[in-house]
Amino acid sequence: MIDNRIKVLLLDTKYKNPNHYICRAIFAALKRAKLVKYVFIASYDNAISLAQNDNYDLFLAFDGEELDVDICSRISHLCKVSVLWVTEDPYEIKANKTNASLFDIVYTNNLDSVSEYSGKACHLPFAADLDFHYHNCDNTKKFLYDVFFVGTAWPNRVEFVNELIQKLPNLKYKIALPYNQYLPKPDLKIPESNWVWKTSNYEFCRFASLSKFTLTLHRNFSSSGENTVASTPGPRIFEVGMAGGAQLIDMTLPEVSLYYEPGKEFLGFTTIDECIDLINTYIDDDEAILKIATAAQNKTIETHKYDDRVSKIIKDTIQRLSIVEEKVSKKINKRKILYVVHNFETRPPYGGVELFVQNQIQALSENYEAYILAPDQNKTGLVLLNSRNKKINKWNFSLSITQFTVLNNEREAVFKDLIREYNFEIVHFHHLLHSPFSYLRIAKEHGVKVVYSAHDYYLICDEWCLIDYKGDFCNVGFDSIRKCAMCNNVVRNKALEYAQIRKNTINSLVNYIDVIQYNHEVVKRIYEDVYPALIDKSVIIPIENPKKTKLITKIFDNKNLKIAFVGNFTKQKGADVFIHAINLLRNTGIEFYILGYVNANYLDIIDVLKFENLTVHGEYSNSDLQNLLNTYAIDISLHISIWPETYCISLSECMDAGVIPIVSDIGAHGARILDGINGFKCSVDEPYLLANKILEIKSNQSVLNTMRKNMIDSIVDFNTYELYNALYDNLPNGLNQYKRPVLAELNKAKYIAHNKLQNIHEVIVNNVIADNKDRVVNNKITKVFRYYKSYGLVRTIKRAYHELRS
Amino acid sequence: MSYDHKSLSILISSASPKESNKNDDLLGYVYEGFIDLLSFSDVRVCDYSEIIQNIRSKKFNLVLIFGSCMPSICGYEDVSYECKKNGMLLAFWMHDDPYEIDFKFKIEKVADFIFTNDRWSSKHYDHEHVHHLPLAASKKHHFRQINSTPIYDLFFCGVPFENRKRILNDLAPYLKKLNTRIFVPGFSNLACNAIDQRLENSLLPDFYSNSAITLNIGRDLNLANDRFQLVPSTPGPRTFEAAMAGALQFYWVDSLEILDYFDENELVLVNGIDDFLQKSEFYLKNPSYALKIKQKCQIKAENSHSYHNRAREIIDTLSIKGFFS
Repeated sequence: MIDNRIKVLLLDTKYKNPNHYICRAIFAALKRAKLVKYVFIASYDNAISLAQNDNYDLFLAFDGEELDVDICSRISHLCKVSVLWVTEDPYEIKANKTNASLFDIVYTNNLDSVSEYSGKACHLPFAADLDFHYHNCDNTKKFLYDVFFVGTAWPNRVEFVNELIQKLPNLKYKIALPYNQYLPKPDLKIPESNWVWKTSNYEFCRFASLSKFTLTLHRNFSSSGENTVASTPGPRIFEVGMAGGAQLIDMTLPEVSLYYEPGKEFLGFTTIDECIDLINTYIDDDEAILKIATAAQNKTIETHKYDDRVSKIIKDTIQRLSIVEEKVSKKINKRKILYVVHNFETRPPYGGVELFVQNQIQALSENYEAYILAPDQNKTGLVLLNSRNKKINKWNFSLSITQFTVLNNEREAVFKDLIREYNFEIVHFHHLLHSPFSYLRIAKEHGVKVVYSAHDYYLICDEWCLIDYKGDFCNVGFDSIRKCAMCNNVVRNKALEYAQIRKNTINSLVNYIDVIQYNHEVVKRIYEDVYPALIDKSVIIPIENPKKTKLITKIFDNKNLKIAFVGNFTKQKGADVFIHAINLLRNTGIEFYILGYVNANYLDIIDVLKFENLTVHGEYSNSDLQNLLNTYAIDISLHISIWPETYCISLSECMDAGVIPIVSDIGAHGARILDGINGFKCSVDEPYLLANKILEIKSNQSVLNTMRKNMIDSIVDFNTYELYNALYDNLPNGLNQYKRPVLAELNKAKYIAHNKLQNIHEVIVNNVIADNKDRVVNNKITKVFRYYKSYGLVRTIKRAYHELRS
Repeated sequence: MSYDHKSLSILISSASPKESNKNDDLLGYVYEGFIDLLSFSDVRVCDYSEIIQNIRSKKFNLVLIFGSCMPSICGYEDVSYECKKNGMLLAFWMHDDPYEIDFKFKIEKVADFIFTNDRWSSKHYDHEHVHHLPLAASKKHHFRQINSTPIYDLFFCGVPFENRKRILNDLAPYLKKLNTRIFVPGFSNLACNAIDQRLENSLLPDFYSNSAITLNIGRDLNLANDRFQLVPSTPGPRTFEAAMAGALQFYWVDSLEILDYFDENELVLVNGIDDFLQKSEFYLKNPSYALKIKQKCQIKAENSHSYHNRAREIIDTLSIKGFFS
């Protein structure tokens, strides 16, 4: 059986809308409609995504004068039929007419305004809702008031009410005449507290229901300055009808007779004297009043519910669907991608990530037109680069962004304009440092797919290396919030609430990320522990560059070892650990090298310590590393970061060059190397442990030959960029989470690498265990005991934890 | 009911940490309401900062977060994660709607069920399961023996919102003639006998009980209600607390939802200055009528508007919706 029911996307186009309840009533009516398969009420932050996600038959935009043209235009393109229902005609006719061009069908609340839309619009008056507006209307109800009126204090209304009270002073009035700065203060002859009050729409109806007469007085004032008057009555006529209120209606606008029958379903007057006559006639005749109220209520239930209005929209939509050809282009096919970064390749100092982004852009250039958006050198502006790193635009702002910032109007405006102008399909965030986090929301709001690469831990902490107040890796996790509060307080003088507020903010923003990419499983674990909401959005793609050189096959014998510190020589990369360790190894014959940028402070320290066995090569260009390793005949590379690195491209490059790594035992370093199998691992808590490790290796160099073979076998040459291609091709639509099978496919990469290493490990370990099972166990116990005796319980537990993690 | 509520265990937590929670008393009342219904061993109360640890400590059927979610420090993603992991139902009972309703987004994505103190606000949540649940009174803390010979003619205590100042100013010539106790911190106005003094909540019931008339004027102060600019429809907690304390309430009418809780034999509806003058004169001259109203009102509060009643409504509602099946 063919399912002819339609799918509806409803949007209140006014973000701030005191009449939002009408949209809710429409939503409820759509849910009840038999010809509606389902309806979703959207907001600006998810509307495009929803439209992309599903082939909606109808996009119904409620209210028109403040609508976001870009967003509504995109949704209109994505849905088969687009409908605008404007509710402020004729007062906002100018804006409404302009915005009407985005839609296939327009409904206006005002009959007299239909002709203004050049044949495109139909008339659709307001209505009422059973749930919001119905009140019991029978002879059991006891009237509390004689005359009830609520309405903005337009001068004509104030004048009328004053005269009425003056001429009929003994009635029980319930009057509210709220005013604002655009209106003259009403000069009412009763105490201000009697008439300055507000009530909810639901209670408005109850007041009407429990009043003998509910007065309707028209408005003859427009905020736009044009003194126009709506011909069609507003929503309250229908709401009071539904509430079972008897209405006294000003008939200077006679259209009300189209909806209710004068004399039977309401009482009409054209002058105040007529109004007074009617009140005098009916005031003591509760039965007659009830009769009118009941007749109006029945009429409302019969024909003036939002269900009735909605059925017209549905009918028109279905009719249009039958003549409208399927919109061919549902998706914008331009494959444009914007990379948001904190720095780029041509602006030193830069690291592996900047290089990787550039390589990624080149590798994907066949399919993607890429742009880079980055903070400028001073962090007071933004620069836009094309794929060849050429600056094509720049912006300057009044304030720089130095740390975690959620909102920034100036930058947001630029970002919004960029997305609209270039029509980006994907925004890939490689870093948000010096950028407002609201970029994530803005991108999603515009239907752009959002990828975030976690090259460090900036989503978790301002200290993106996760170094705590003691200078160690903080081991952040789900339960760390109190520690984070303390650490932020101690290190950055932040209020104690700061950490929790930051976490809440990120928690709400991660909803806007479609896929988060990690370079290694270990990073994924840390992120997901802190933000479980990321669990279904994760993919692991190591940022490997293509292998460039062939592996060296030299033999280790009892020669002087050459050991290189590789990478920028910074505290986070383990500069302090390195200096302390080589200080202990001065006269060992081991030669040390620093291949990487060294800042002036460390150069001073090195100078003072006068290491005879240390060569500082300094900065090198990316393509030079493997040549340098060969030139200096480096045997061992040091990757001894004190923070949990998220991958470390230089580690891969050293391994590719046949250099055996010694790594710190945390983060991706610790997870990529199995100690004694394809390299060495060392706790970086104490530099002497590194010195010990180096001396051990020196005295037993023959193991390095086996180790190099293992290391070479463990290297996987997969094509990272192909994986990115697959990732971009299969990004989830709308609010759907990443397609599971694709995710699994992409995650294969890590398993290939991991399994190769694991196989080697298992073969070796099993052999050892088979041969020396007891000895291994005993050794471990002895080792633990010795460590405990030397360092105490706390350090032992900490060490054991590190061992177990790795 | 098809459920056996004796088998339920409930964790009640404040929605915000104690430091930023001005309505800490209310949490205690809610806790007592559940204890009346279940037992001490099945109900636990904790501060926002301790929810996670509590969730992990016992298999609760329901985690009920009560209060205001507005402070920036409040987020519930972690709580939601823990509840899901441990198979617990997560419900919220918001007590500051519509004044803070712009922050509803914080709970809409994580809540299994939302209770809100305000009926009109309940229509504006983007959530499948929303139920209106007004605040209430605590018999233990608010009940007083009705005083048939009140000390004061009129009592009022409240923050000086614009509507309250307007009404007190309009009533000034009359209030000057009465023996009043009008506490309005930050608003000193000799013309209407207003005293610039803050009263501890614990002192309110005695004033309610010892006054011939208690003036009840609602709140008019939004902290985060910019988006839909909702006007509250449901009376605030003090209406129920004053009822429990045996007050004769002069309820300044800006919503008739009050009639869903008390009828005109249980409190006095006031519609404007003249109405107030006429009715106050009558009840001050006829204390026996006033006494009858006070008694009826108190009985209604005891029977229908205690936190015990609300606790039952929460459990019944969740049960009817199949959350405990």
